[in-house]
Amino acid sequence: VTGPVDADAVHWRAVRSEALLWADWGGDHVVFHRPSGLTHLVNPATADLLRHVLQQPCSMAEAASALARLQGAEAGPDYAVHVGELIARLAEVGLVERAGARETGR
Amino acid sequence: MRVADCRPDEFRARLRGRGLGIQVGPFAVLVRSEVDALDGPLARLYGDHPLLETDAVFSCHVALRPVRRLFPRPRRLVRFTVDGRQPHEDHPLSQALAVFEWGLNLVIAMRAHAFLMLHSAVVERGGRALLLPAEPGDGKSTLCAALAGHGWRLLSDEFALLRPGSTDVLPMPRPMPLKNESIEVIRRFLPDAEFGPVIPGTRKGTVAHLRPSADSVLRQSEPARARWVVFPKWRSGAALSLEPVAAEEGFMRLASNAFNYEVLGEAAFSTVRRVIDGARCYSLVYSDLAEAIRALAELEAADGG
Repeated sequence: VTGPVDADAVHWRAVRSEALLWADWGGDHVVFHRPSGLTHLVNPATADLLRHVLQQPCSMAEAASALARLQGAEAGPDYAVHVGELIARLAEVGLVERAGARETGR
Repeated sequence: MRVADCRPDEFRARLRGRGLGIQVGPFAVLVRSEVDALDGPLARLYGDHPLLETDAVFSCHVALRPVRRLFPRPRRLVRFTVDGRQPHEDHPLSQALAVFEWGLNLVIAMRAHAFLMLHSAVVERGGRALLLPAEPGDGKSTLCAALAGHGWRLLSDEFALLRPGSTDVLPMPRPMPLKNESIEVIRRFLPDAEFGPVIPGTRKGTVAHLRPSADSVLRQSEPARARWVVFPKWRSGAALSLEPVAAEEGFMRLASNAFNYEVLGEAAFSTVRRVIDGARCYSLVYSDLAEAIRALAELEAADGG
């Protein structure tokens, strides 16, 4: 039996770096995901998220803060929501995976 | 020995018997045919291709034969088979040449995974290849035919073939299928061009095949380094526009236009990356063939041509 999950307790990380091949020419980045064989075009912020921020497991809120620092952006509520949606999308295509969750059992 | 060096009776005997072996780019194709109306067009359109003896090792064995269907109405059809298997339904007998060309495309696209196959016309000048990847209806074949008649060597109207890891495009010169209005456009643009029969009523409309130049066939073992990737788009009445495309966009458009990118996976990714590393990408919108050819000649000249 599992209880509700505290979103801040769920941690995310990028798939291991050996699973991805990168190409970029100074603009958006192209990334090949070896396990799926799929190729994705991602913007520089997403590339930073995958290549730097999510190299260590972190929550969506932590990822948003770290990415904002890296991008020189303001980490407001909208930004955090946007990063959260981005991580969810990246998880759908297999570029990001859950690192673990602490169930609160409220 | 070229196909054209084969006497008509021997040519026919080979087609009806053990098969006519033709070297088409890197592929050795053995053709058997019992369709009388195909003899003449094949002899003319493939006249410059090397003739192979039947003891060669062939990439594929294709055959065409007439079949009759009585229901729902009597019809004469042509059946295409490859290595004894029928990959698609029969087509009207009068379309035998188009069926052969489509069938050969299908065989190559389904099997030739030793190569990365990009859906692209390719022409060459000065050892450098110009790739023209496009969707159907974008004017790829028309532009390719026009370029091939104006100082560019035809590598292929349909496939950019690359060995994984290489940026050398391998030639596969074959008859170029022109459709509908493009047939008359190219007849006017290239008055000396040699066409096969006009085939009306195909699933792609009216089709006619343009014979590749003897020079392009003679040099079919001479690859060319990918240098330009130009995405063409014919639009009626449009002013000419040749604009740079970002490398990453070029990558995605090229990769998504490949026949077997997903099949080759990582090798395909690495190959397309190398192509993009060494090439410049552009988007071309045109309505006037002469203008488009001039713009591409200027592009080549400005790039050390």
